[in-house]
Amino acid sequence: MQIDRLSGGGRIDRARKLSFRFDGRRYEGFAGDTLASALLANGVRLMGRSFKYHRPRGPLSAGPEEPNALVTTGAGAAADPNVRATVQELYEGLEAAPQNFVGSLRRDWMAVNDLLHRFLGAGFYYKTFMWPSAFWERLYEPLIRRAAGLGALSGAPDPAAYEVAHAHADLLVIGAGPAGLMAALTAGRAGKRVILADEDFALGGRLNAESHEVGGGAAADWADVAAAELASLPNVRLMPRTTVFGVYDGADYGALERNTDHLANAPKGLPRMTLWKVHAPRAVLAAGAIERPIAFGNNDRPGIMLAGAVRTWINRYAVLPGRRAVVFTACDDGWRTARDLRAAGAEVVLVDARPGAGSDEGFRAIRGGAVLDTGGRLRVSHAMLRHAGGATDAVSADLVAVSGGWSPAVHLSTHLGCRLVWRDDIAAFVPGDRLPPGMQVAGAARGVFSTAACLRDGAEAAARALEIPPAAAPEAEDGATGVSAFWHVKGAKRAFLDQQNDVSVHDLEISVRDGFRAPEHAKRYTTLGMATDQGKTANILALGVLSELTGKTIPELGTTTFRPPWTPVPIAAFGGRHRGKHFHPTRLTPSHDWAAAHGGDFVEAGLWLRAQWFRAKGEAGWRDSVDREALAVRRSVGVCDVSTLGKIDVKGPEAGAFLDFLYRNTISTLPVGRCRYGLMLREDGLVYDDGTVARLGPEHFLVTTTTAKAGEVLRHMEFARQCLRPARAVSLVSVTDHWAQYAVAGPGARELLQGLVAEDISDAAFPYLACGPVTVAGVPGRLFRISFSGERAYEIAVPARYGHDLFDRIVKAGATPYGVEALSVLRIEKGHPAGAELDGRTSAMDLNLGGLGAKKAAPFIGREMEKREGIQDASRPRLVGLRPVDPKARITAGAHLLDPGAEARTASDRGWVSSVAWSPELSRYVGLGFLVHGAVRKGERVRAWDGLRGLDVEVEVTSPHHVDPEGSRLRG
Amino acid sequence: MAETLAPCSAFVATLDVAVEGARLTEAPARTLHHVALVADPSGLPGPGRAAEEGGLTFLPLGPGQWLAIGDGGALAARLPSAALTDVSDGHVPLLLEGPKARDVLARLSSLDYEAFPPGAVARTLMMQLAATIRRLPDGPAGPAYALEVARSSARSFVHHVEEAMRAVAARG
Repeated sequence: MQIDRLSGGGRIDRARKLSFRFDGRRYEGFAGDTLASALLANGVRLMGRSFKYHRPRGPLSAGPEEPNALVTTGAGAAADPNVRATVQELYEGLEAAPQNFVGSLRRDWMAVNDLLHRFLGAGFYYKTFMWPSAFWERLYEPLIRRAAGLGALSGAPDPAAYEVAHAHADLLVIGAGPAGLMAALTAGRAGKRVILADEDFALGGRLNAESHEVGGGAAADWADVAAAELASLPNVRLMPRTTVFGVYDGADYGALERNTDHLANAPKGLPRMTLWKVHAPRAVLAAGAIERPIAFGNNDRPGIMLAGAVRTWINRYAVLPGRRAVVFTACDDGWRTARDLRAAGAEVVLVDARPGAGSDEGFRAIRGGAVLDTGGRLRVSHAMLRHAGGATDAVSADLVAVSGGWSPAVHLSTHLGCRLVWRDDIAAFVPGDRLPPGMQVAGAARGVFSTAACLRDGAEAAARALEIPPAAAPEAEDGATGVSAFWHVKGAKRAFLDQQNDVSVHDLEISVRDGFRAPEHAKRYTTLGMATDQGKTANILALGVLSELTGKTIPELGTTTFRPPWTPVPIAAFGGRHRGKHFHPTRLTPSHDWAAAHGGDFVEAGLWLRAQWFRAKGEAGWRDSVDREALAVRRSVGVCDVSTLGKIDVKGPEAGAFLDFLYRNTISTLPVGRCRYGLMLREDGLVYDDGTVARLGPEHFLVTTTTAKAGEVLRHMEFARQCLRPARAVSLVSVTDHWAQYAVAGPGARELLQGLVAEDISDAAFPYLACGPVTVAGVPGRLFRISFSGERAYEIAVPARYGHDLFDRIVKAGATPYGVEALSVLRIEKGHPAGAELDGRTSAMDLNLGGLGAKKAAPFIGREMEKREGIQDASRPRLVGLRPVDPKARITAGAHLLDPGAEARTASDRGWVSSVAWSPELSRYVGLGFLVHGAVRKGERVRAWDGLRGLDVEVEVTSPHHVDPEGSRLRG
Repeated sequence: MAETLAPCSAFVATLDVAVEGARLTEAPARTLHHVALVADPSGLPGPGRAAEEGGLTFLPLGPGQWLAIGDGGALAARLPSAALTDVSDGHVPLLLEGPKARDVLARLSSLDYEAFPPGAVARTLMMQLAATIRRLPDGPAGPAYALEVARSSARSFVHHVEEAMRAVAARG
């Protein structure tokens, strides 16, 4: 039974009944209701329990500022906690549950906290749970966390989808109340691109909540007509259910659109939310104002509400929130509520804190009085009034409407650092003059309160922003809003300021007494202004009280900082589509599908997926596969996809000279048709990257980089080209994705490739380090004779579209496919440095590559800084080979190198093990590492000490080249 | 000598995804070159606009750099001294078209597609991936956009386009 629904009026659709459940019970409401309005219509006032004291609570507001009426919607993984019932649109089948109680909502066992409130005031846990200190983490904190809180997350991955999208406009209008609608009409009629965003599902703002007239008809009807006109303009985009939550540099605004939270059955594929990045050189902030309560005794009981919210319930939702109402106000706005309540059939007692306020309007008005206290358990039942003379009396009441005045919703105006300005005449902060670039503030958001003034102000703000004439504003109510600063009732007990965090006037007194007097300190000490509502109804009130307690004026105290977001935004919305395996894009090699179909097991290498090994039939573990693959390369022939290595086409008459500048060694002397190893330094003289450079023509080089550094190296080279050597005629193009490139390695490599390549690739015609164009099964390709494994090896390249077929043919011709793990085993056996050795801390000398370009005259990046003492220091750890003395022993990468008998401590550290592999060729573990004075310690014994894994192994220092140190194999 | 190597698409199956208001297909193979070090750039388009000339289409990428679509021989004849690099296989050509194509693009990149007339070209980041986009003359299905995206990440890219298309279609 909708016992509190008025028989007529409201902006609800009585033809569309909706049934829903709250706290396990079934109710009915109408389309156009929020969850809160529908529950109120059904007589429900108790909607939740408070954060700390578990006090019964109902809605304080009717909007996004709501501190109390937080519920959990949905169930299971889709459960969404801390949903404000005042903004949750009602839909058929909505399921909502109250939060933060033990037992039942009506009988919450944790309400015992309220009896103990004397001991649980601000800062109690800092003082109470001091010792023993170990108890804090194990006992006190878990207990407190269980006892206090809001809703809980499901703990399961969110099944909903989210997206990020971009929008552009000449003018973004934030808020679709009277000012926002007029701003949008002004710009829209002038043909400007306009986005009008409002967090509500109905456009109109307070026009939907008031009983007065605009343009000679109902205010809400005028809003409907204005919205319809805007909807008809092709240059205007209306975005209801869209919260503009932040202002960012470059005229960018963050906006969250809720697509499905109001739908019983969301269309398939529609994301739950869209996070819009709106670029708008001009904006009108017309976010309205937030009414503030007054702190009096037990001012948080269900049935105690903001006076403006009471008008919203009556006029927009046709809900009568109480039949015996006390209206407590310090401004003219309370009188409006009293009138609307009386018109809706309620008995009204009005208490105005101002002695001479208002005229006789036929209801009982107590001037200069106050509400001192209230009674009632799950709903307010009476109010204790204090008259101007000090006499008190109790009035029976099922509704207390409160208005301490309105605070402009200035939040977005401050996101780029604008300071607020205090206005005594409205007892509120308004935006200062250093607004975000392009932003105008209009209407109640800048303290303009009458409807007529808001309409005019919105039109003028848009006109100013775009330098166009303002649209004509309709006739409307133009009354002044008198207000006097009135924050709390003196002598009241349990007078709450921040209802969401259970912070009372008394808590602020404790804070000031304990020395936390500044607003930022008091906030941290009491938690006032924290959590989901960020103190929207509490902050100004608290400042007023703090001002009284400290004797400073409010502008002297200043506010805490408003940061984005204005209301909570799920992290998932920022992530958008980038989650799970789509967190980053995936790059696939040309042989990926072949590998996937042939036992390939993939590993992420940056964005790439690379086959780390190919599991053959009967192989139990990865080592079986890797050993087999590595041995195949040493004994016959293998093939590995190396397309992921960065490939940069360097062209132009000065390409050689440019590369001399980039590499430590000389490149320009390389003959056409030859390759060379190249070592690149950073500006600081340490090694940046390595790879091969092939000269394919007089003005054409192909540079390869490591897979990991491909993007970085191109950027580094572009920086050198554009900024350091802008006069050099050179062109840099990434061709990584254009070429499928495969290493074909092993004693049988030449023979195999000769079957695929048209040209003669005999050792005479194509010796070690040769390169050049070839025809691969009818397709123009390239061949490079380079080796990473130490075996006779080639890299063959064809345009990527042919990569799949070429890999298949190479395998069919007898090559064993091998993955990056075998590639790594082979290079460690051969002593080639890779990522673990080029770790950004090693120099060319550390890598025994000091001879590369040692006689070079031309300048190169890193040359001067490499001469630093610390880099030239002969005692720096040098690259060495390491093998356990006991051939059965295992060593590990990351182990420290210690001298025999040395104690395992930092001072005795002599280096580290960088790479380790099981060598199937040598049937033992072999490693690479860096050892102090390593160049002269070959044959000595040291220890590889790994404290993490509990290993301490005697190792012999060797040449890094564990296999074929003479290099005879790669020349064939 | 064995038979000629067989070409293979970057996708598992032929790419053709359609929803109400938008369609994504893989465009026919074309030859694509990176062009730089042009001695005399007159006649080549400046920033933001494509130009067609003798069967070649030039897309500006940045100062002194273009992508050229069309026969490599004709290109070399037109720009004999320029640095030309074949990147045909480094990119996959895609075609996105339909009355809601713009709404799809709004979910992929931050460009203002309402200020992107036929002939406009941009190099932009789409879902963390670099892409070159060009608006073609409007077809019977409405606005049409030609995209060049990196081959290795083309499947990730298409995944995101498909998700955006479904989201746009679901809005009705």
